[in-house]
Amino acid sequence: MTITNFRVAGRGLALAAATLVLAAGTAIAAFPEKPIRLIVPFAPGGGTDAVARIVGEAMSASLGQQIIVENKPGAAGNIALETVAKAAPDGYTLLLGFSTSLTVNPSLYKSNPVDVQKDLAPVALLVSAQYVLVVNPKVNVSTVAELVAKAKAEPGKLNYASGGKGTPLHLGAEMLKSQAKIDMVQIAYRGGGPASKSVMANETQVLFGSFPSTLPKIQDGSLKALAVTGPKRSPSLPDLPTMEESGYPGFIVTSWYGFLAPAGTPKPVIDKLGAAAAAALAKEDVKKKIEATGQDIQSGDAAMLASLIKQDIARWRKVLNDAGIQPE
Amino acid sequence: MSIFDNLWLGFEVALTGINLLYCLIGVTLGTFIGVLPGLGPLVTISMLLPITFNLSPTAGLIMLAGIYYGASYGGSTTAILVNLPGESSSVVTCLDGHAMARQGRAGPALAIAALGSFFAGTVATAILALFAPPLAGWALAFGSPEYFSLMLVGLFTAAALAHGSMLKSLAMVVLGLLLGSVGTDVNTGVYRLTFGVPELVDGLSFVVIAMGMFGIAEIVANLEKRESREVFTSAVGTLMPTLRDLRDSWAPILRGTAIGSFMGILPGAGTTISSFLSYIAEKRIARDPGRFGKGAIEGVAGPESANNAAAQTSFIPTLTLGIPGSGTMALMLGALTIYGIQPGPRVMTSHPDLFWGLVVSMWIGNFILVVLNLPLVGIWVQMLKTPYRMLYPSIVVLCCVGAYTLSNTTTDVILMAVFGVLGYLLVKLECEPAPLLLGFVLGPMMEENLRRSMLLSRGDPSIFVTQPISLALLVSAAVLLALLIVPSIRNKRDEAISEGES
Repeated sequence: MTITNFRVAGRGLALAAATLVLAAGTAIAAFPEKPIRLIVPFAPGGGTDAVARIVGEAMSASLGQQIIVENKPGAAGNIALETVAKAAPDGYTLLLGFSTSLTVNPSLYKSNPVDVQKDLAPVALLVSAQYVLVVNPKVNVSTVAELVAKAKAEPGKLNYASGGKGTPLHLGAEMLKSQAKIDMVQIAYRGGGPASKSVMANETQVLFGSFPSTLPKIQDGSLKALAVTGPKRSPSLPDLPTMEESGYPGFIVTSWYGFLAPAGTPKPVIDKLGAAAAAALAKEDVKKKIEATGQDIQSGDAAMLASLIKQDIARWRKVLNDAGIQPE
Repeated sequence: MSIFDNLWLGFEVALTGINLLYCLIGVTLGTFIGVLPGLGPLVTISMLLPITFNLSPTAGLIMLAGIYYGASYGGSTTAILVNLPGESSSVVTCLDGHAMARQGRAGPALAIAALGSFFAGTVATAILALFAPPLAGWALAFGSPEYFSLMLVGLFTAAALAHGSMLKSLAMVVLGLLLGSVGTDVNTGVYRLTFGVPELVDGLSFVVIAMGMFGIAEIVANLEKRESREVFTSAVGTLMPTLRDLRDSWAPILRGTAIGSFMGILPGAGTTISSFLSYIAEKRIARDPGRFGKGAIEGVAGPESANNAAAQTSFIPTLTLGIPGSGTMALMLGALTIYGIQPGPRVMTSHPDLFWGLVVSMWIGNFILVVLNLPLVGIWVQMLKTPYRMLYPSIVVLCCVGAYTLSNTTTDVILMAVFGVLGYLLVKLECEPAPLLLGFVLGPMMEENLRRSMLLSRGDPSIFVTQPISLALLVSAAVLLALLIVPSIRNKRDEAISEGES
């Protein structure tokens, strides 16, 4: 009797163990079981928010669960960063991180609420966008070299518009100033929109502007484009050289967005989310919608995002140092 | 294509079943959220934006635009009925509109607000249709010195807003300036007065302060006075404006339309300032300004027309320059970009059906709104008869929900409560919150533009007087200041003389 009991018990245990293993496996395989929160550090309606919604919608279809966008704007992205870093690392909270808040802010401020490389786990890279160096047509230059020459001839006279400290508009101009050894005065505005308006009105003369805010004005002649700041030429302006081609090797200014999760999220969950993101980005209609916002798809996996973050933190620290901007 | 061809095209587009339907949906929704305190067009448009992806660009834009200007109609309803500005541009309507409601004249106030808004909307749409490209040039001509001088004019009018002690209203303006400096300095990136709270890094929100000071504070103060709670259940009076009201209102409506149409074109200056300026203008022009604050219909007709006109003309810099004048406009711009339409001077020629369809549907939307709102006046007035113990908690709940939806954070709700306490203190001290709000709105813009102008001129203050528009504005500010001070000097002088003679 006892041996039979043992055998029954043994079989029962084995069954239980097998079920547990299967359950654990299916728990990860079954992820997601409830909607996923995607925290976006911008107010709704902008280009970033649009990308989040477009990609999120496509991913919802493939994951079988809704991806719900939650906008938590403010503090240059820190509020969203904190929200996600403090969330449970179970894959149900994702951050749409953007390059400035992840890689520039650590060097701008002495105290940061979140250590990007320690408290967050990269999941996937989504899009990147490059910038274009534009001037007001009255400045009368058509290449970067001519602009530099003009700036050297009249030091301190040219104004450049920036979208605020730490924005790509600011960083690009500072890079140009320190590499070309010219002097231009920064006039800060609240964002790229007012900045491009000021260049159109000739209040400032130079701007490293984003594509969406400058392309229509380049096309109708209110602004003159000199170069693009990415690694490759832009298909919308194929005749425009890159900054590297204009004689500044290593001059790359891009902003990018990617998904990140709290540190400690299990790798299978990260991999699943990353795969869903990549699949969403490969769809034709998603591509079209994103490109309509002026950004380019740059699909990358967790490892690529991690190394990009590391690279950029170091790079922007150097740029800010060279420009004499100390963290405060 | 002549203007008539364009308008014909516009009518063809706007009067299709689908576009008409979305226009109706948009303005109805807009009115509804305008009425709810705190819940503004920004949040609504952002929630509905993804849905519009599935519509044609024209239908989507028509609906979003309808929400936007519909909200300014709805905002005046809460301002008049419960002294709660549903939107930043309805703060001024609270002053005389609510006073009229207290006198049992809520109906005429609401009706005049609707009619004035309709007239202003029609005229502003016509301006948009006829003069959009040249007016866009105006927006570009306003640089940092001009904005500063304009804000200065606005600031002097803040002092004139009050009908109580001049000293108290100046103190309120200064307090507003102080509150406006909370946040990040744009030139240096330094945090100011944020006390380590991340939600304060982008500054205080106008809606939070307005709801706290106007809504919560007022409710608390009212609950204190047990006797006069029955004030609304007394005879509500006629629902329609009298002939006298109409006669008194037509000129303010015209002036408000002019002011609003102009101010709306300037990105950033926008709808709030236009309603304040219109109120001041009316107070200045009226034969007996003492009536203002106690239920003068001009104080409702002018500002309401101004803010609706500004809401329409603020589409001009967005559509033709691609420069959004406010957060809501930035959303519209985002929507346009997602549809693949590049806003710019060429949008009129590259997408004529969209542009003219939008323009005509704005006029149709205004018409629908006035048809919707006039009959609703009776219903709104009935709502006033709700017992306080049900009305007030609902308002408080709506305010809290509205505050939360701004940025999905409870910090805003807590801040609103803090401002509620502050507002209550101010009520006790007989200080008015309106100048504070104006200082709060104008202060940061003034400072930003002052420092920017000085940077541009490399420290030379003459930039403000060498630019012609700025000079003109500064002269107007000086004249305004003189107009403010001279009467009180004359009074003091008369007093001194009469004391001397006796």
